[in-house]
Amino acid sequence: MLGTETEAAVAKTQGPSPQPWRQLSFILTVAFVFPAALVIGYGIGWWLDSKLGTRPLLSLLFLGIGFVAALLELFRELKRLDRP
Amino acid sequence: MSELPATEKELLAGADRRLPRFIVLLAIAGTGVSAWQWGRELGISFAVGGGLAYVNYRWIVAVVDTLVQSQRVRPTRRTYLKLFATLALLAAGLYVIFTARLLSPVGVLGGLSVLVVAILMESVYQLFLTGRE
Repeated sequence: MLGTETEAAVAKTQGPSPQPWRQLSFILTVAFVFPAALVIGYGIGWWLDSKLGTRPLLSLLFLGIGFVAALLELFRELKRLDRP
Repeated sequence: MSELPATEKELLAGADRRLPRFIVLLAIAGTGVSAWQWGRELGISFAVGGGLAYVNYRWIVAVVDTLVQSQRVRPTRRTYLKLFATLALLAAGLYVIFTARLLSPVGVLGGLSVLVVAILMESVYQLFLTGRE
């Protein structure tokens, strides 16, 4: 999972590297945030739909919001991964 | 220049091996327990959620592998697309599961949460390992 080639390349220029730990952290964060954002978004939409009788409009809308939130978090994590 | 200390490398390699095993074990155990306690439908839902959690984890690991093996830490457009596709498929899958009422949402959520429990288990195990040294 944590490619030794890159580890070595990074270590050459930077000394002991936190990169593999960062990769692991990236994997765990994204693997958790993806479903969590979608489920929470859908859950809020479903709850509002059941209160307002607008099913499935708000469920879809909030699922979309969860989707965008997960994407934004993903880009943020990728930037962190990219940082030396 | 130096690489990671050998103990840290071992710890990382161990985490890489153990995490998917924890996910599978928890999914199987959770499926059994929920089917036994709350019926077959919940058991199947838990199994689907656990399967989604496993596929999601594997997919993300594969993307990071691609990044690392190409020695290009800066993400390419293809990497973004792959992650976007994972997320889109997951969203579509969850939407269909929840709206079509094919499965129990509680069971699917329980199955998805095996990832969190697996991460907790791995953290506790690593603490135990470092405490022992």
